[in-house]
Amino acid sequence: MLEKHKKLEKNSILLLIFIIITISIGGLIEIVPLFRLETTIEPVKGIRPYTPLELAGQDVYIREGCYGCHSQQIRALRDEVERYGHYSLAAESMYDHPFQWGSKRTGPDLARVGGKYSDSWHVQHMINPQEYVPESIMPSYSHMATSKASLDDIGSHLEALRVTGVPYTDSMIENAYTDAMAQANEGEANTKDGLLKRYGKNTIVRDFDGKAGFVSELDAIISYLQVLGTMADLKDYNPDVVE
Amino acid sequence: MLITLGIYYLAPWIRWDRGINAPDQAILFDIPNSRAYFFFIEIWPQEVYYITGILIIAAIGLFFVTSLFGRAWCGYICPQTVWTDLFVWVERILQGDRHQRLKLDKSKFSFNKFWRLLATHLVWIIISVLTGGAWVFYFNDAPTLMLQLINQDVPWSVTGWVVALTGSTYLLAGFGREQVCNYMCPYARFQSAMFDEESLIICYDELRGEPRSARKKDSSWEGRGHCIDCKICVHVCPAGIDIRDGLQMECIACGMCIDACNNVMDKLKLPRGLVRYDTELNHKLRKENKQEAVHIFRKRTILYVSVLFITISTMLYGLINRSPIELHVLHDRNPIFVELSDSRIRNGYDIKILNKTHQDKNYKLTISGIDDLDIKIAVAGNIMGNKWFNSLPVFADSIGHFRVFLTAQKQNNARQQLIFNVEDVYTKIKENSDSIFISSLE
Amino acid sequence: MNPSNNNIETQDDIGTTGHEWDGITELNYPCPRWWVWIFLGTIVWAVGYWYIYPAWPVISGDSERGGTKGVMEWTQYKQLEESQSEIFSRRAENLEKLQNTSTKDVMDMPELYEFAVVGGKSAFKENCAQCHGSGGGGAKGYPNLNDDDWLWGGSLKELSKTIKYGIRSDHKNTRNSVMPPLAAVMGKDSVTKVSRYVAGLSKGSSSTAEGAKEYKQMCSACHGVNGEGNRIFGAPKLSDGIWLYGKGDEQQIESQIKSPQHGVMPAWIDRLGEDTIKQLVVYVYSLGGGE
Repeated sequence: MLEKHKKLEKNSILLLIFIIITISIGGLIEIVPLFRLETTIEPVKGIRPYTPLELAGQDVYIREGCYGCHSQQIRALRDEVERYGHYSLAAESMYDHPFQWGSKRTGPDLARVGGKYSDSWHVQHMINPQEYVPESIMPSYSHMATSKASLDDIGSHLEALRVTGVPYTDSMIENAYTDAMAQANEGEANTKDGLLKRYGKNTIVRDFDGKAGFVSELDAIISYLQVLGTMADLKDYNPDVVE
Repeated sequence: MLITLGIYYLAPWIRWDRGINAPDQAILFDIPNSRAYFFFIEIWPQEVYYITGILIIAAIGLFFVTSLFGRAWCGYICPQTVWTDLFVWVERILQGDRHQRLKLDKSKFSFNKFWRLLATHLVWIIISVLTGGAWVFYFNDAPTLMLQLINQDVPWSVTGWVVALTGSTYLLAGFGREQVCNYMCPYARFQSAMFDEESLIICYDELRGEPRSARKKDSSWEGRGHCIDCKICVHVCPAGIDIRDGLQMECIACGMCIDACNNVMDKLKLPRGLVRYDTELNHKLRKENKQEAVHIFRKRTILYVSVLFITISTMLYGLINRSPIELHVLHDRNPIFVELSDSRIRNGYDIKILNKTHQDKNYKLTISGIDDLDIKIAVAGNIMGNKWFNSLPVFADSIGHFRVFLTAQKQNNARQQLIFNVEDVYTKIKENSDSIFISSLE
Repeated sequence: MNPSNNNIETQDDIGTTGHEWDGITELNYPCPRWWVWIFLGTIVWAVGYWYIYPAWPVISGDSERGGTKGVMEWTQYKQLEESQSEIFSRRAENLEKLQNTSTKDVMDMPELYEFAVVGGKSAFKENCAQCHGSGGGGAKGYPNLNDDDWLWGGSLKELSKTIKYGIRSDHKNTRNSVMPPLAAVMGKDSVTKVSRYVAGLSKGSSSTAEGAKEYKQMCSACHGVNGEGNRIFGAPKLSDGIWLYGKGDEQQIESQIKSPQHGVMPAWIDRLGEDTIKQLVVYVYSLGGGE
């Protein structure tokens, strides 16, 4: 055995070939199942791609590193379901690129934070978290209230996501900017109808930060937070039913 | 041995009438209801210091006995010794004495050997099961549990304890034996600190015994000691030591060697007591040809007795004066005070009234410290008016939990001292507890 | 030192691996036997594991999501269901009682009341404390639930309605009302007067008769002639010392008249369900302000 191994060790080409074979086995076992990824996504109604404003909010979320302290993944464990609600489904993050599951909960999980608190609470809480949750160690994000949300290139952002498989239509990409303005209640009259037609009538249209005049980053991130976990129709979801 | 075993097995069956609302078992550790009963004593969880007291008394009592009589505990009362003796007794009946047992061990496998060993272990296991079985009676109503055991309808915790104690009894008394005393028992290690020259220990009288040697029949006792080196004292020793080497840590003072040696002395028609209970001091005095002396009152024993006396009297005082009511008042922490719309201040309190008697009681609550105090008490969800303070109901042997809301004008002191007082409506026994009324954050 | 004495190889019959680096060789001890057995054991264990639990991804899998199911058909969802049913069955007795008892009757049943308060307390900490404070003490813009001042009513029935459907929420049964911005209608002067008048009301001083007329005209329809408020519109009582935004000073009142702020409370019925809301109602009531 040792003698044969010596041959392998002393012949670099042979060694290379065997290394490739060995790694391929491991690689195949890890990669091949990913081609069947769609089988792991549950059939659940209601999941839609993020609206342009929500997407801009997700960008702020990622830029500020919110994922460092907040997860977006409710595990199928009793205590988590008791606290946060229905466990997260793969389907609910299938349009997240990159996904925001997170790995550390310094703050609470946000997977179903949508609709839980009022917009004005979010505004005040972002500006001074300790005012409402005295024991919180979350820093202040007051700058979001005064920074303009970056929506100028949001259409190309949608286009890029379409490449990764998010089903944005041409009209969504075309109207991305007006849709974003409409959702924050800052658009021209009638642009709201187009938004609701494209993203569904449940899309929340409000002036999220309560300040008329311009679309701030707070508008964007609150619109994103308010939609988290609310899309999926979980009432008649059954994990045992397979498509 | 029989006495200790008897106490162990029979104690849970002793009845003690405590009235209708309490169990009638004399000794009972009621864990689900968190009460302990010992004849006339009844202990709630927060009075666990009584158990501490009992343990202190037991420990000092043990030290006292040790200083007087040496390891009397180990030899006569310690469960390890009692059960080991019981197991050895079973072994002797089924397998014969030591020589026979050694022979049996060495012999080849045979039916004879097989059934004797099987029977021994079987009896051991039965004893162990009974031991574990008796243990659980201390924690449950014995007759009820007995019926449950017979019907094989017992809680898993009982089964668990029976199995655990069966296992430990079987292992410790069947196989551990003196190893337990040598390596596991802490008392064996530190008891030497409690010995002094005048403690009673098992002694070999070397002045009389030495020089020892085997003796031919009818030869003279001149020029030699009375010990004939028969080694019977060594063979009977459960701890496996030779007492003739003097006092050793392993000796548990069981006295087996004394009995054995006395038998030999009887046969030789010599006086008994070559191995006997004696003190080290006597031994020394004899060597020096002085009069033997026994001092029961020594510094050490007097100290032990006085500590024992103090502990017992403190406990008795506590028991006799034990209040049948206890009152706990907990001021709300969040929010610590509430401003009402008429600008008065309200504070909330959780109060707990412990009714340690066996009758349902009504208590009257009074609060002093602030004039013009508006008191409201929540009984379940209902906030009660004034007439209710005269009769807060608490069931027998349980804790009444009430919410109290006090409303008053803003006080000059940010923290105003208050005294809560409850009084048994019938017996007029009272109990106090301090608290505060907070009206601002300074 | 004699090198041959120092060579373990010659003292032991183990032998070396045959590798040699600058005269340094390596003894060829076998792995400890206990280690080898445990290693083999883990392999056997793994095979058993594949058989019992879901393990391998399935390429063809058109009927199976993810992969093999294993003979026990274990899934984390079933485990969740089991552990939930365990806790539900433990709660079931009280929960069933709670479902069949009106909130009013719960108040008379000490055990059920205790159950409801404890359940309500934990639901409150998770869902309500962020705005109303962990003890229900409130914050600026979010009412204190301990005191005796209620915007929409503090009876069991009103509490239940508020929690279920929220205030100015998305729910169709929500409580709703809006205070109109009145500055334009009233004019600057009259806003200042009314502010001073209202601030006086709160402090109990009626000396500021100035502004009373304007108040009666513009505000009394909702806030009452004497500032007693009106719960039908959720119009706050103005004659007490409790203020939702600030401390009741003139500037605060003025800014509220100019650009009214409105609190929003979400509807909880779809998120928490009847049982939890019942517990929450009992808990909030128990804080001391219940009516």
